[in-house]
Amino acid sequence: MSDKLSLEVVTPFRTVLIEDVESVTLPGIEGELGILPEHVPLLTTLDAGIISYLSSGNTQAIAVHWGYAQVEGNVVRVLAELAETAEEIDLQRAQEAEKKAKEILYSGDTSTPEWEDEKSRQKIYENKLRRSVVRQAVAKFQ
Amino acid sequence: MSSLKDIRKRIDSVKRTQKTTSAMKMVSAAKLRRAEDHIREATPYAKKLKSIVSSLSTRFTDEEQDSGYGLLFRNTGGKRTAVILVTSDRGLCGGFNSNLSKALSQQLVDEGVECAEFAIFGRKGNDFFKRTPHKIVVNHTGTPPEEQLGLVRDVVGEFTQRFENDELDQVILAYNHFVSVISQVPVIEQLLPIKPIEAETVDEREILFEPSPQEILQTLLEKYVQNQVYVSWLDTIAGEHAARMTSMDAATKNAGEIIDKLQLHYNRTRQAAITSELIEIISGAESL
Repeated sequence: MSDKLSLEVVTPFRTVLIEDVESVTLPGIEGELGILPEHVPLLTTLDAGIISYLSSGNTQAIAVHWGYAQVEGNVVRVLAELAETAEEIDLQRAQEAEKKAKEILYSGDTSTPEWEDEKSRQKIYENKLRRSVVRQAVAKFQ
Repeated sequence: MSSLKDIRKRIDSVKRTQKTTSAMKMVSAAKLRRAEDHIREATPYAKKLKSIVSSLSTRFTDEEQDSGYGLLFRNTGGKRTAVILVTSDRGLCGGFNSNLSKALSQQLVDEGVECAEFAIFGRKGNDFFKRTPHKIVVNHTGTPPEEQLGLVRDVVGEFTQRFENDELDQVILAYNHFVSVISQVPVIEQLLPIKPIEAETVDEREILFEPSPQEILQTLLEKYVQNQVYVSWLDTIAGEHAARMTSMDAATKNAGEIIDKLQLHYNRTRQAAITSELIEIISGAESL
């Protein structure tokens, strides 16, 4: 019995991380999932959130923005649309993005008369807001 | 007989052309390396996505595939066709784009498709198919790398939607596969309905799904199709640079040969002029 998990995080653009870790926490669409070695096979959709993992005693984090995670044997594969490690995140930019998204969401600015447009615009900024919040949370792990 | 000055001029002009072609070759070589890196970085994602899809699709019986989320597998055998064509924006890369376009239009003729709907990435495909009876729905040119995935998502989303609504019978993807620097192969493959993927091993173990397998598969399949198109685009970009590199290399060599020939011709003409002048002087001196 192995006491390590192999964590692989890939995006369409690059491989973000391949590392042997002790445990992983995934932001599943229906709630957080803690994965330890010898977990049952699992396939889940990921929300925008934080993957945190314990690697040789240190907790580290990666921001993911929607994707899939597959647990098979002792391998955790994360296929994300976008994934960033703590070092890669520009904290200031994330903060600015949060501020801007909040401003737009709270302002109730209805410059687009079409309700459909307004709804999709709101969704875009809600997603932006979530991304920026996740990024800031991950940046703190650095 | 051309004068010395004319030959001189031609040599200069060919030399300038040669400079351009050799510079283009070097630029392409550098760009090719970057394009190859992009492919390499995109491969793990594509492979893993495929393995998940294949391990998932073996879990469902044919009956289940026919209902609901199996829509993308449905084979109606009709002729309403949409094509996603990936070509380069620029020419000067040999038969790279025209080979693909010709093969594609031949295939459409063979299948009896008279008017397909086209979504084209790259200017050259547009140039070819705008003269045909096919309908070009969208054409994206000069796309920067970071916008590619978004565009692919839009186009694939549109086509899968219409496929699910039974407005299309098949979607074809056409691109150039980058085999090596000297070889790029036109590939025309069926994107929708999705061909069942051969699973490497049939996985019989229980798997936890969150949310339900149906819901996962629904979005996963669309991701899978998107990724196929995205990877084919990267393939095409690498192929374009490779093709340009080889054709510019050939052009540089040809220019060199022409210069050699012209130089020889120039020297001969010059010598002939000198000789005839000498003869004139000597015969003039003799007559005195």
